[in-house]
Amino acid sequence: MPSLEEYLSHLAGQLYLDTPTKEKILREIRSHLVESAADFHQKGYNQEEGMGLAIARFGEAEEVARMMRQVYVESANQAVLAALLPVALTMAFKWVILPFLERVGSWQGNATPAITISLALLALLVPGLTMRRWRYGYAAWAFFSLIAIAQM
Amino acid sequence: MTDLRRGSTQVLVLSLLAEEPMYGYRIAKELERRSEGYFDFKEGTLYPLLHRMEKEGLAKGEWQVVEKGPSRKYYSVTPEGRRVLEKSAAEWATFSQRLLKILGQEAEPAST
Repeated sequence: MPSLEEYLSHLAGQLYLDTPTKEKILREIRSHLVESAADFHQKGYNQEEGMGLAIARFGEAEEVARMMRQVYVESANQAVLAALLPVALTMAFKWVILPFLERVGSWQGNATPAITISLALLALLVPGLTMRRWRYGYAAWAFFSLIAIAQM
Repeated sequence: MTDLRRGSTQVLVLSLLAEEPMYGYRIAKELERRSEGYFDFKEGTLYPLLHRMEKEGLAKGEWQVVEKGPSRKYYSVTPEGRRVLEKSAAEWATFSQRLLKILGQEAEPAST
């Protein structure tokens, strides 16, 4: 049976989440296992046996991590959507609204679509890596709005 | 039967939290004690449920420092959680009444 640190380390390796979320989860599970082991210790088991029994009752690290990932992957999907929205709007701004203004009026823009596309693709990757959820969405929104304004 | 028990875990947890704020280990022990071991599950599966409930706004988690031992994250039910609890409890009551009626073991007739 693994020790507390071995179990938590194994669990951490299976979570594939960002560090703050991972730490938050591990802190709570550590607290649970320490208290559970203490209860077993009070019932007459030595500390090692107590922790072993606590871990056995808690369940396989892989299963707990899999279920926890499911909860947070939904948030990651939300983050991708949050990032997609400002990117899509910026694209629309660049290729629909600006050309329309050029056609209707006499406005001449400084279009750099290659840079905007690269940034947009990069922005789509970031939420999946960091899972910062809506905070990233807002940051992406501000970033692309500034680019759009700067190019006017 | 395992699926039924699994599906009922959220309403059970909400009902405990509606009584008073609790932390994960206490919730696991209370479920085990009150069901006399019937709702005996791997305790680790409780945390994904609690985190999901927290994300969905059904429960609110708050860390509290404990004098002896590690800090605990206490969960309390939110107003939205109470609404979901009421609705789920009513659905489970109807379900169990209908089931018992079909099995010919009803204690009292279903109201709906």
